[in-house]
Amino acid sequence: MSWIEVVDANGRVVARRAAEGVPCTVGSALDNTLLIEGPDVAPYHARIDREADGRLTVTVLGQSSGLQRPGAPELAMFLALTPSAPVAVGGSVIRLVDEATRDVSVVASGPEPRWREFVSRRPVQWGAAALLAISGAAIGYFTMPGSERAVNALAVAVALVLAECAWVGLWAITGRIRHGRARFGEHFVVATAIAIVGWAVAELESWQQFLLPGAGAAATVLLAVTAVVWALAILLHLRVMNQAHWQKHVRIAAGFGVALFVMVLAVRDYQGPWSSDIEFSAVLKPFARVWASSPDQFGESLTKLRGQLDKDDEEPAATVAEDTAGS
Amino acid sequence: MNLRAYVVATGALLVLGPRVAHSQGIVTAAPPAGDVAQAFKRLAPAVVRIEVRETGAVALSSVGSGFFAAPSGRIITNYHVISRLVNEPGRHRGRATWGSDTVDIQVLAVDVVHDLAVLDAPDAHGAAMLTPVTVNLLKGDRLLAMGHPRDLGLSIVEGTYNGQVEHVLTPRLHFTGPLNPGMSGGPAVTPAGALVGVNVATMGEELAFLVPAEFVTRLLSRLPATLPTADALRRDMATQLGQMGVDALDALFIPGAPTVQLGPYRAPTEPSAAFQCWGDAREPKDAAYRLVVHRCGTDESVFLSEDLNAGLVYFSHQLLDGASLSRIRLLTASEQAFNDKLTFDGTARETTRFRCTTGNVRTATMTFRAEVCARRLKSLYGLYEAVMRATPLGATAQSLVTTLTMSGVRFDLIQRTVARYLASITLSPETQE
Repeated sequence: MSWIEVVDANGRVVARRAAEGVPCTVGSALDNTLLIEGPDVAPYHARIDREADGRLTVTVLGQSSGLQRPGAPELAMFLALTPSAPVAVGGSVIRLVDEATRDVSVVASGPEPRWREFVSRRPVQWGAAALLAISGAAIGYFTMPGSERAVNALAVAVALVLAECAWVGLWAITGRIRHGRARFGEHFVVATAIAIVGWAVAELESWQQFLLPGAGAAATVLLAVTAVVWALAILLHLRVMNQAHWQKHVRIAAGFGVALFVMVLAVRDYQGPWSSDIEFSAVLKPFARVWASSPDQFGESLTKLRGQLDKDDEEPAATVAEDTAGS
Repeated sequence: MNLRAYVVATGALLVLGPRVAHSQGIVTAAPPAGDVAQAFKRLAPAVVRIEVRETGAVALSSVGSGFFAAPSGRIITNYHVISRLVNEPGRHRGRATWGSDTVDIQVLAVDVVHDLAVLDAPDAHGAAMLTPVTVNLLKGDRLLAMGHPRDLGLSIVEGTYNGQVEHVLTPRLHFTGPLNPGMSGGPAVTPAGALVGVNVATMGEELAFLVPAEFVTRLLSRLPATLPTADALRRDMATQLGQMGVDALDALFIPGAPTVQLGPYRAPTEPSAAFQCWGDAREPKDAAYRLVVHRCGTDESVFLSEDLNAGLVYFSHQLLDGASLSRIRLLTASEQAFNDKLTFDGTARETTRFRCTTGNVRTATMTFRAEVCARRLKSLYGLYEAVMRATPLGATAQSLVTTLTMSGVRFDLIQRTVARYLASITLSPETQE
C-alpha cells in the first residue's frame, strides 16, 4: 500500500493519506485533505490527482506560488509525484512512499473531534449568543440598583455580546488570514463556554475574598485556576483554527497560562505610584453567617497593618532635619 | 465636598502666600476712631512683619505678622506662618521686620494644636512688648487687630468680640472684623492695649478667629533653654497632636453616648459638644433607593504644612433605603457606596501611601464587613491617619455604610476607637432578623 506523506522542514511527517485516497487537496486551510502550514503556502495550494495511467500528479490551484522539486529553483504549475520525485510546497515536501513511516508521530487527519463538530452546528452557535445575551440581561435586571431595570438589562446584554464579539473577532481574523476560514461561530461557542467557566471562577474568588479576607494561599490557588481557564481558552481557540499541531498548541496555551500566573503573582502586591487616594475593595454577599472577630479583636488585628506602615518608605523626614529651624 | 474639604476651605488661614493670596477679597475697615489711632501709635513698635523666603529662588514663600511678647521679648506668631522653617528648614530662611529694623529669626517652640510659634530673634533689642493677659470679655466688646494685610504695610482694624467658637476641639475666639491674609500672627488687643488673642483665620465677611492669649502664656512658659532642631520641634509637635487625639477621642463612642436612629440602625451622633452633625435625604439620580446621609465632625482642622492638615475625627453614615429593591440589588448598591473612593491631602514626602486591611466583625446585634485603610505621617513620629468603613452583612431592605476618619492620632488610639465605634452601632431588636 502506498502513502502520500507531508514532511515538514524539520523532517517530521506531519500529515499522511493513503495514495488510493486521491484526488485530494493540499494547503493551509483546515478543510484541505493534507494540511501544510507555512508563509509560502496558500490556503488551497494544490491538488493531487491520479492520471489515467495510474501516475499521481500535483497541480497548482488559484493564487498559490507554485511547486518545486526539492532543491531545484524552478517553479512549476504541474509536477508528477513518484517515490523518487517528491514535490516541495513552501518549506514542506510531499512524497510518495510504499510503506508508511512508523517511527514518527503523525497528525491524525481523520474525522473532526466531536466537540468541534458540536460547536460548528448553527443552532449551537445561535444558542451560545442567546445564552450570553440572556445572562447579561439577567445580571443587569436582577443585580443593578438603578431604577431603569430594562435599560440596565439591555445595556449589560449588549456590552457582554459586543465584548465577546471583539474577542472572537480577533481569533476569526487570525484564522481567516492564516488558514483561509474565519470560523466566527465556532469561536463564539468556545468563548461563551469559557466566559461561563471564567465567571464561575471569578465568583469563587469573590467568595474567597468575602469569607477569607487576606488568605493569600487561597487567593494564589484561585489565581492558578484562572490561569488554567485562560490557557484552556487559548488552546480551544487554536484548535478551532487548526486541527494540526496538537503539541504545539498545548505548548502555546500552557506557556500563556504560566506567564499569566507568574505575571499576576509578581504584580499582585504592587501598589502603583504614591497616591493620597483610598480605593476600598469590599466584596459583599447576601450572607451574614461568616467567621467574624469581635470589635476588640478586630482593633487588635490592626497591629499588623501598623507594622506594614512602619516599614513603608523607611526614610522618614527625620533625615532632613538636624538643622536648626530657620537657620 | 467632604467634611474635611469643607473645613479646610472655609477656615482660610491668614498667612499671605502663593496659595491664599487670591482667595479672599479685601474688606474695607471702618475709619479708626481717635482712640484707635492712639492704640496704633502705642502698639506699632511691638508688631513685626514676618517673611519666609525660599533660599534657592530667593523668593517669598509666605508673609505674615507677629509681635514681641513680654516678659521674654520673643516674637509670637502663628505656626502656619513659619511652618516651612520647621518642615523644610534647609530650604527656607525667616526674617522679622519692624520699623527700620530687620533680623533673622529661628523657631524656638511650636504649639501646633493652637497654631502658635515662638521665634527667637537674638539681634532684636529694645523693641516694645505686649503682655498676654486674662481679660473677661463680653460679647460685643471692641477689639483691635494689627498686622500686615496682604503685605501692604502695618495696619490696625477694629472689630468686636463674639464669644468662644463652638464645635471645635481647640478653643478659638470669634472676632467679627476684617482680618485679611498677611495678618496671621498679629496681635488682637483691647482698646487699652491688653493682648487677648492672636489673629489666626478668617471665613470672609468679617468672620474671623483668634487664638486666646492664654495659650501664648502657656507656650512662653515652656520655652527650651537652647534652640531646638527642626527634628526636635516636629517630635514635640507629634507629642502635642498625639495628646490632643487622646483627649479628644478616648471619651468618644462609649456605651451610653448619643446615637441617632437611621432606619433599623442606631449609630453614633454628636459624641461631644465639639462635634456638629448635618443630615440630608435624597434619591440619587437613576437609583431605585433613597439615601439618608448623616455626618458629624468638628469645624476645624489642625494645620501641619502647606499640603497637609490633621482633622482629628469625623464620621458619616449613609443609609440606603431600598424597600423596593431585591436583596441582591441592595447588596450591589451597598457595595458601590462602600467602594466610593476617598481623596486626602498630603504629599509623598509627608505621608506613606494608604494600606488597607479587611475583616468581618461581629457585635452584639450584627455582623459587619469592615475595612480599615491607614497611612503614617512621616514627619510626625508615631502619628497616623486612618479611615474605617463598615457595612452590616445580611441587610434586607435598608443598608448602612458608615465611615470614620481619624487624622494625626496614635495608632493604639485608632485601634481602640475603631473597636468602640463598631460596637456603638446597633440594630434595633424589633427589626433584627
